[in-house]
Amino acid sequence: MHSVRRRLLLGAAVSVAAVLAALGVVLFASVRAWLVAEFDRGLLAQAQALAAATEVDHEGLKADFEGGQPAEFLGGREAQYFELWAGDKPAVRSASLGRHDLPFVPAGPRRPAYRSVTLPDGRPGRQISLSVRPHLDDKEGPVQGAVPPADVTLLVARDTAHLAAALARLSWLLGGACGSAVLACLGLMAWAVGHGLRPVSAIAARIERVGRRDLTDRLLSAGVPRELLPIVQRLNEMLERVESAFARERAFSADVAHELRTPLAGLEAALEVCSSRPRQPQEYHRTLGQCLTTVRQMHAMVDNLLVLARAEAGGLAVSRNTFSLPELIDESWRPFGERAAARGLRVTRTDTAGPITTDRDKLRIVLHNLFDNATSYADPGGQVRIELARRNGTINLTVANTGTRLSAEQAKSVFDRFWRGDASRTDTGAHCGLGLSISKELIEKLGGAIAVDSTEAGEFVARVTLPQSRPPRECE
Amino acid sequence: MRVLLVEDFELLRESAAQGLREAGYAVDAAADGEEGLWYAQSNPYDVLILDLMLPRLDGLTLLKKLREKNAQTHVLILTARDAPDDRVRGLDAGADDYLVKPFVFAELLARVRALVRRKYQVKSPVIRVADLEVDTSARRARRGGQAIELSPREYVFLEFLAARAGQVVTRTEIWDHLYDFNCESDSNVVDVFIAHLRKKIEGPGRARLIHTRRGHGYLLGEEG
Repeated sequence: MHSVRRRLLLGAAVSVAAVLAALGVVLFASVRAWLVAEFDRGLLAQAQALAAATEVDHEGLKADFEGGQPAEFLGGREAQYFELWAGDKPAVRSASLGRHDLPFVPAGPRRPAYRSVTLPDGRPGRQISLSVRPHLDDKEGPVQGAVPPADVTLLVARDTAHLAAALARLSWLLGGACGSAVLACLGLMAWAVGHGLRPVSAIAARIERVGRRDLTDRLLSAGVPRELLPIVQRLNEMLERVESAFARERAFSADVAHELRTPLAGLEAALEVCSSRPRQPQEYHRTLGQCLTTVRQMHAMVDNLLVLARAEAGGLAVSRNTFSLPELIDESWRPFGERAAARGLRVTRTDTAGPITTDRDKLRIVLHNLFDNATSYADPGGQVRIELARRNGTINLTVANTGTRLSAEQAKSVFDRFWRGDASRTDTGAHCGLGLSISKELIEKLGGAIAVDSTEAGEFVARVTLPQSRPPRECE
Repeated sequence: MRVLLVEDFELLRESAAQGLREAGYAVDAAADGEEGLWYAQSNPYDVLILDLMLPRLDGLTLLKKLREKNAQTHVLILTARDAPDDRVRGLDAGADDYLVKPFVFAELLARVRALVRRKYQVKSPVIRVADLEVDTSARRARRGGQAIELSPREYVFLEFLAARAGQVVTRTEIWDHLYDFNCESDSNVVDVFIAHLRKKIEGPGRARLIHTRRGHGYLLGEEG
């Protein structure tokens, strides 16, 4: 699992270490260059002193020291070296060199050349090549070899042990300083990150508490840093949605329980009372008939619930058939003709011909529900109006009945499951208030829309719009 | 005893009414809240069996309106909603008992009997008047240890008189509590039943228990 704290610390540590390392390297390099330059300056001074002692006399090229070569050139543990080259031949050596030569490096005409070398005794050292012009000394006789060699090169070398030691010390110092700086930074960062992340931990703790007891808990946004506020707000919105979804589900389960319990209670009472004593055959017959009717109503309701659940879960397959809508209306109206006649309803119909391509079975369920409502809720002797119109590839179906007036508030809830015009429920069993919910789900699956309203005159109107032909790709 | 049943689901209403009648109760049944309220206000019912989800006027409102008028009817709420909140609201609105649908019909009868006992302030299911025992749960009567054969209607008469033993019970009261709206009003019927009951309970060689208070009514007791 990722830890923000660990990531922040790791990132900070790597950055600080890289910056400090780069700084250390630059510092080391410049100090080293400076120290080497200082060393070279010393070497140059020494070489210039030696150059002043260089002369050519009758014996040839030589370094003329008063009282012999200085002690440092004689040898020993910290011996230094010089050598005079005439042209490309060694001419004079310091005592410390013995028979060895210093590696010859030609000097520039004006500027001396420096180079790091390994001294004859194996120590690391630095060497200067200086072009010298020895002066002539003819006091003791004529100078041999005509003129002093124009290209006399003086090589001076000495060990760099002190320089190396200083640099080593410097590198340890820098390394140590960088290391401790990184550690110190890490500690400070750990504290800062912990401090900075404290609101996150606090919110995590709050979130952990939310919803343990019930879903009405909300996260308080007071004291939440600006960066985390959106998270808290989104979480609260999500909780809100979850809570209302739960409440809806609870209400739905309670409704289902109620709708099933009442007919069950009826069945149980009817069967219990009927079987409590011997009865005439016609009494049994009547009770069985009543029970059967109730069982059929429950059956229809369970079917409806199943259709609704499938439609809402998106598990309802939609097929496509091309058929005549007026014929489907005829077919769906048939079971209600008798009821309409019995209640003295006047039925008017206007049709336009033409085929429709959609799912016939689903549309039949919708028509069944609309006709059932219209013939049930129309006032006795009222009117039921069924109109079919076609416009720009859209089919408009209107099913209206007189005798039902909805308030604006009621119109909003007609598609709620188990909703009925009478808040305290009418016709338990016969109408369970699922018809319009199912119709809406199905019509939307078919790519259409359904809306209801009621007129001042008390006419309830359900309007269905459907595409005349539903494109197959949307049928899935 | 007279019971009003308010329930909108026809099968339940008819079956329960039939079952109650067969158990000897005078039963009126209403299919919606307004009808139920009208019945409840026009008669002194012993027990009101009330569904909560009713068309036109819901059960709780009906109950509140009834209690505002100080009605003494004992109320048994019958509903499909069984959340504790619903029960609390029902009882707080003035109900005496609560039964959740679906239910066993025998339990409904037992609860109605219990409410009737409470109404007449009888704790024991067996009412004793001298050597007469009326067992309200078994719906049987014995005198001096001997069982008395009674028709359901006769038993109901006896139970009503026994519940108010020692008090004068008027013909109107008998009419109000033992007959439903469908019965023809004829006070002779009451006299006829009382005569039958007397014959069976008192018989030869037994002390009188049912006394006639001329111009008032009847009294069940040892000596009026």
